[in-house]
Amino acid sequence: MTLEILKKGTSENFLLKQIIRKNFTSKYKDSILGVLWSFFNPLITMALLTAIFSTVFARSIENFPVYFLTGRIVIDFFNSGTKIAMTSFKRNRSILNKIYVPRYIFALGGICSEFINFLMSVIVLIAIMIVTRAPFYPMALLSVIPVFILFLLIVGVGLILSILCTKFSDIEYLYRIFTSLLIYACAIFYPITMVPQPIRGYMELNPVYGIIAQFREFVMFGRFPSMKLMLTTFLFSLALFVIGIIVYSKYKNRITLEL
Amino acid sequence: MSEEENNNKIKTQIIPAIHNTVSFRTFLKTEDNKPIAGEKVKYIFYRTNGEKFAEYNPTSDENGMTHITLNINSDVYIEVIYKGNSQYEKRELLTYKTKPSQEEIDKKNNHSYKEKVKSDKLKEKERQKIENIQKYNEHQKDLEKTQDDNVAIELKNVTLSFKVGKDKIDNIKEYVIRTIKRNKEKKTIFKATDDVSLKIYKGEKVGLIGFNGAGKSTLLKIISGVYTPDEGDVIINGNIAPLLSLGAGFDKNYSGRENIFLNGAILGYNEEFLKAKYDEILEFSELGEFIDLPVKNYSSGMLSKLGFSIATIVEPDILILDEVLGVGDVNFRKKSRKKLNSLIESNITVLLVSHSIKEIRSICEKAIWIDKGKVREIGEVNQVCDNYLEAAKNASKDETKKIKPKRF
Repeated sequence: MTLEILKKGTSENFLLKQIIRKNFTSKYKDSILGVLWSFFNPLITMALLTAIFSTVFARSIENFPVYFLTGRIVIDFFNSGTKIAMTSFKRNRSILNKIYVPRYIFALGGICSEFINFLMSVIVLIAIMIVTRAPFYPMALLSVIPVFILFLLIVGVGLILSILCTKFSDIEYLYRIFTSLLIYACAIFYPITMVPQPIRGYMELNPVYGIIAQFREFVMFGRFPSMKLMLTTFLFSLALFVIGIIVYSKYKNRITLEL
Repeated sequence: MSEEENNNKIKTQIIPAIHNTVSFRTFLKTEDNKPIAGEKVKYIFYRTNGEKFAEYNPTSDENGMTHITLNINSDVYIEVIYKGNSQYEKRELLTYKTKPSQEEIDKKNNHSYKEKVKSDKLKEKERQKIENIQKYNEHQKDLEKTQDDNVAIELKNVTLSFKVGKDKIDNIKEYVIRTIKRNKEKKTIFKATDDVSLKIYKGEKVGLIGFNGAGKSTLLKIISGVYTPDEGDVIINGNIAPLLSLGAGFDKNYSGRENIFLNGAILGYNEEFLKAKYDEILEFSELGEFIDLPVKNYSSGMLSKLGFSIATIVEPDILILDEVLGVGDVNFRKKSRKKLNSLIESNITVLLVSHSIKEIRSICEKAIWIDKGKVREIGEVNQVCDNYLEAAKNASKDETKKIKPKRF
């Protein structure tokens, strides 16, 4: 449509910035510790789970706190990113219903603010690695690859959910159940080797697990993960990203009618 | 006049004469009506704005009369002062209005004149109307000649329909069950905008009228891009400032300052522009030091003041208004109306939705009458408004017929 072309790109970047900022501040608006929760949250769960599981899996997991955190920050980003994108149109319906704003900006803005949260928890991860005297590998820098794949995946899934959510109100609740199941399915706090074979094969198809596995390979062991794993997760994520874009562009014009 | 209690008294009389030459007379008389001669009376003349422009000091003659003749062509105040002795001073302020017109005098006396004026006025109105329509038509022809680059808003066969159902399926459970049972309720399609085509040229002030639910707001939303039509094209040349909602997306935890940037971003302004205009927005909003407080502490008036100030900081090409709004307290209301009027009067395109036909007539030159999602009439504002009002009258008659109380 003509309107899309007429709106200038510079003001869109500015809007994106403003939305990210708003999401970020509103998340911690009523808490005393504020942004510090981004650090405390993973730390506390890590401490708890380390206390419970580190002895159980002592033989198969070398450095439990780091093992847990690497998985935890990835799945946290996935869950919170997709959730915030899912509800973005609904939450901003008062704006969308009155002014023309490119709608995807609200979804993207939400994901970006969760990405900042993710970066902050990376700081926690580094701190814990220092404390537990875990080795740092130069190869760890390549972990930007799985993070990039993760971003694609989140945008794709988030866009699909955001459109579904305008049509069906119970998607929100269903997805909440799904995400808590996903935590168990991604081998966050147990070794994947524990899972017997046919099931494990299916689990490895899960792109979120794939991303976590790659992330761990790069960060914890300084190794290049298997090409097969990287390719399947990448293609899977790319497919979801493309589907997300298609779904969004097909239904974006109906969003305001459904809200 | 209560000069009776004094020894000396003034009787003033103003006798208007022909051709704006006015003579003023004052009679000085004692209580028992004997004239006082040889006394000075001071006349001071003021214009209505308070400016003093003449002063005379005539002396009374043997009849106690003082007299001046003056050429006056505007309304004046006259102060007449008589200083009798050290204890007594008489002042009187008079107003003189320029000669009432012959018509007005006639009007007072003659009843049939009233009728004549009435019919004259009607004729004049009719003539004016025809003239307006002619002028309008010529103007439109001119506009059409210069064509495309002159169009601000163009809708081509725009249709937008809503699906309306008694029970809308809005959850998956329902959707799945209904699909299995094959008992999806039939949706009725409601065309909120039905094959609307119209052209609005640059600089035109256009009023959108229609009954409630006729589709005016939907049309505005289509034009401002909130809704995308199912069919048809929307062509907009220039940037739009929709003054439909003030302060959309204000974050209540943000300070006024932060909200200026957030709301500005939503309205499509860029950062440099907002930084440059920040002081102007702050000044216009009259918020002063409140600007650094979170807006959750603001009164609703303050919120709308801020919203208005942000929304009107741009000089848009196309201004979209849903009712001409004045916000805030009396003073700000005046100020915001003034600002809006200056926006409207500048050379921009204005699209106004209002239920106040009076307002439409005074602001717009063109009107579009929307009825049941369709354009019923486009044309010169007074013509369309007259037809609309006529239809409204008939409609309400029909309505009231239906609801007449039944007798038991």
